[in-house]
Amino acid sequence: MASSGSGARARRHGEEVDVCIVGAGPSGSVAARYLAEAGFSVVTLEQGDWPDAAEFPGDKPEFELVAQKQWHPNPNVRDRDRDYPINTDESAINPLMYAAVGGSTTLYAGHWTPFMPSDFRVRTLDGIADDWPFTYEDLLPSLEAMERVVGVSGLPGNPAYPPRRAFPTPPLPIGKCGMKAAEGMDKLGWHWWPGTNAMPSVPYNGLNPCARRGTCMTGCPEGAKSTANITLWPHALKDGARIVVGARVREITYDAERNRVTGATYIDRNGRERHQKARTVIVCGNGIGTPRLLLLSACAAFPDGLANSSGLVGKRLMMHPFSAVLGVFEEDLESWRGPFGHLIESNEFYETDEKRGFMRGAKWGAMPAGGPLGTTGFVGSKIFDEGGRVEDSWGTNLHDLVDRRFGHSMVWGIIGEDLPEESNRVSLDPKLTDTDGIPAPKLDYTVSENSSNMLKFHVDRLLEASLAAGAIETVVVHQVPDTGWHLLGTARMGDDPRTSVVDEWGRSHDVPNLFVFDASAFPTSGGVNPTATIMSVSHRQTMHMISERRNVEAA
Amino acid sequence: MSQASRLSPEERATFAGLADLLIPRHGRMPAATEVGAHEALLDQVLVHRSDIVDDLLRGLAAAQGAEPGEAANRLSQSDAAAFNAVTLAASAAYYMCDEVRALIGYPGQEKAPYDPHETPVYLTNGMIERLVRRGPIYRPTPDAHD
Repeated sequence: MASSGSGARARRHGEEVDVCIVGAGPSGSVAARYLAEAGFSVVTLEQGDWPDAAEFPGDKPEFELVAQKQWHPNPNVRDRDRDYPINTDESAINPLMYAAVGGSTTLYAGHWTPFMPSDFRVRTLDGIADDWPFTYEDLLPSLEAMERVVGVSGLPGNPAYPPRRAFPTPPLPIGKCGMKAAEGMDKLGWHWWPGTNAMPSVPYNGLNPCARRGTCMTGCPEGAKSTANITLWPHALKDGARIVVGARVREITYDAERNRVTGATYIDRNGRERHQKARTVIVCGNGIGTPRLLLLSACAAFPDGLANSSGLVGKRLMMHPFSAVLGVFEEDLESWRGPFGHLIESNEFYETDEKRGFMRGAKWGAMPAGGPLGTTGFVGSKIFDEGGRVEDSWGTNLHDLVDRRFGHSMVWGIIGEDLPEESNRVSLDPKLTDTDGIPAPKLDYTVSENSSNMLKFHVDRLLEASLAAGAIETVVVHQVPDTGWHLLGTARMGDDPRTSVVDEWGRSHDVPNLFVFDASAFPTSGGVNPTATIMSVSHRQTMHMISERRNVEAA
Repeated sequence: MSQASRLSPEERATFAGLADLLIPRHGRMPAATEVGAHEALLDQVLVHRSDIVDDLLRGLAAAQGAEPGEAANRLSQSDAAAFNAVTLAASAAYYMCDEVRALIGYPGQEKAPYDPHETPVYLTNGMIERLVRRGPIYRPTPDAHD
């Protein structure tokens, strides 16, 4: 592909560009920023808007109240015009996402936890699932480059990872809450490490330092949580990238004669249908939005969905089923204080031990428990039990419960590796549509026995860790439904076109100028929060696209 | 017309009775109506959560004229959405009150300044040293390059 030179930009709506990117979340934004810098003409189509930090509720008294509705991470609960509905009738986990420049990172907790070496070699090491087409070491340069952009805060030397470059900003305070969690781990001799987070502790790349408000999951009013609208787009726009917000893509267009995609058709904010012509299309719509779009783009040559000769588009959905353990302590832990990214983390039980009754493992993150309303985000201190008689949970019991738990609670969250299964999948719903009439996705997802056993094992260990830290009361929330943050695996990458949708560079095996750069392409899920790896993989693929620009088969 | 002004005096009185049942005076803590959880604070809640107004009004209609304890238990069994709207409105109004927040020691989600260059305690008390002495815990890539 011959790009149009430095600072290239499309002059008119729809004019053919080198690259059209669908989705301005972490992966799409990385691609836009570096492709534009390299001189490609780039248009990104984003169905959401630019986030407005002034609207984030974290610095307002109604924070906890609106976190349960307008700022809820489940689009079916939030029900904004820009969200698309998702049929979850057949799904044990509700997918969570947010449409905006920056994507779902607008509402993420900012845990920066790169995949570990074994995550890329699951088949070789454990005889299950699949290896990735590249290794941890192959990805490391991109990971370290992304950490320089993101402004990661953390302490170097974590023995859970091979030696590597230090983080660009010092670790955030772990606070009384994190120290309490660490004390329990220290007593047991178990691994822990101060939390590594996608929020700097000092001013960095347009970001303010984390102010510890603890409201990461409803957007950071301080502009301190690393999101692409702050860290990537100012550079991309300066280099000539264009972004169209409020653009809902309904189809990737395809020329069967040349076997090339030719661009994307979208509905603009005013309901008008438009077409963006492009020599290359990169899909970055997340593990649900990407297969949805490929399935929507079915045509005579690909009746089961564009680039779907393998039949795997939409299959192998992984969502990291999640459980949590709440510990209540005598001491005042000021446990509403942030960051809501993890205060400390642990990989003590990350690797496979078959004696445990399941394969692979999980990462733990210790987090604060939120404000008095008790349902902050997806965990919180759960002070309101709606079962039984009203007086059991309310009345004087409510005051006693708040006295005992508020400020005195700490939450350990478990992110366990979800293994790929073809029965867990995304399809198109025959009836449900978004507000533009585009068919909505439907999920079929069951928590596997392996995941369920894994979570139970980790809950038991975390009860031990909480008691070792001195907890006077513990509460377990098992397989919380509203925790499908991590949407992975539905257009997997691999070397064999019969068993994968794209190759290691994100290029479709079927259509040579169609790419998937997001976590849909992940062959396995790891047992950690995936944003660090999502951005790193996109960076690696983008750099390859730039270096191979003369050889890419474009439309 | 704001959503809150849709509440009649009778509905507000019914809400007040339910709110005091849910959040009574106890120890140092005031009852819901003692801090105005049925007045301006309720209005504030409904401004931010207009989506619960219909459920709330249905719950208040069902509870009107009944003894609050009996009405709340009946509502929790017969109409969960209405019950949840009543309890959310009462608790959110109560815990948004500055006086209540002061009593439970909650300053809100305030900024908490810190020195990012200060040496953390875990680096000086041996906790991290013990972890580092234990050595790596990851499984290396089997075919890793040197």
